[in-house]
Amino acid sequence: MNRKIFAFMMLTLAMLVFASPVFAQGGNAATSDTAWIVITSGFAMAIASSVCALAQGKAIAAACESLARNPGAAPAIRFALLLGLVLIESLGLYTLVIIFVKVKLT
Amino acid sequence: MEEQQLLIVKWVNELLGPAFASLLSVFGVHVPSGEDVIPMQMIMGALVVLLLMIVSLIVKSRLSVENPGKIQQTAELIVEFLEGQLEENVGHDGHMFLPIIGTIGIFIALSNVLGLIPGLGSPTSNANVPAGCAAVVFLYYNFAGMRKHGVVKYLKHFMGPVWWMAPLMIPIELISHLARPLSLTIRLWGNIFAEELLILIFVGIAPILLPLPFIAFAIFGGFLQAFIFITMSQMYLSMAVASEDH
Repeated sequence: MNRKIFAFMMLTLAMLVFASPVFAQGGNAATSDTAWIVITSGFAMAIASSVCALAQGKAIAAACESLARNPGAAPAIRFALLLGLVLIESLGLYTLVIIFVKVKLT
Repeated sequence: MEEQQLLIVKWVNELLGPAFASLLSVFGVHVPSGEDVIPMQMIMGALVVLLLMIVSLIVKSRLSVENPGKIQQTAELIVEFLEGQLEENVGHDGHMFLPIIGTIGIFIALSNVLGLIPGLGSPTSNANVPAGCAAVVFLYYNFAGMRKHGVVKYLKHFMGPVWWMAPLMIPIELISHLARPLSLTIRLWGNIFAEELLILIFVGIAPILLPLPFIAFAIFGGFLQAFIFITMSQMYLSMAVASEDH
């Protein structure tokens, strides 16, 4: 097991060494205006969407399990599931709205 | 991505634009030269109101107890659904809120799906319309709480359970109360605007086939967002008119 970890680390190090030409670009990019808002909004939206998806996955998993245990309570479970999903969705949407406001994408 | 003007908006602005502009200039409001005098959301909102009024008048003229027609049965279905929701969420005196919750719910539901018809747009895709609906809900639930408990007693709820926690509770309660119309607005506007933008982008990629699943999802999403709007409004109403004696 230790040999595998060591081999993996060496491989990662080798890949990083091969990626060093990327740093040569950094000097040129500083002279032009990097559109930080575009880069940041991409990352922000990705993080917000992924965390929302995780949370919704947990909600759906819990709802499916409780539906399997107690099919008679289906309307109540369905209502709670939909409500929870929409409320979680709206949290990811707040990030999108901030991006719209900042990037001025009418 | 520049905004494309709908044909109906262009016609209405050509017909009524100068009249509205002169009316607005009486109040000292001048529209910048690039924008329409009557924006899309006002025309579409007026269209929604007109459609709902026409349908209501048709239902009212054909009401019958023994032999209900199809439109009456659909209307009864909607009213029963709303009353069931009010009973469940607000409690035993929820029926007095049926007009406002029903109006806002049906208006938002119809506005959300109106944009999917080619040539028409959703009024809720502009930020002002959901903000107006959320402002109405905010003012109404405070008014309902004050009407039920009295102004002073309703405001005393902001101070929390014991009086010496008031300096801590008042800012927290204020912020949470102000966050409610904000979240209602952004949830509704963000969903409808993002749906519309998504469909627009996919129309640019593959014209007829690709947007179809997204339009189908947008129909479902529009009704769902209206349902969530009225559900959250009912929860705020139930918290405002909550009576401690059960």
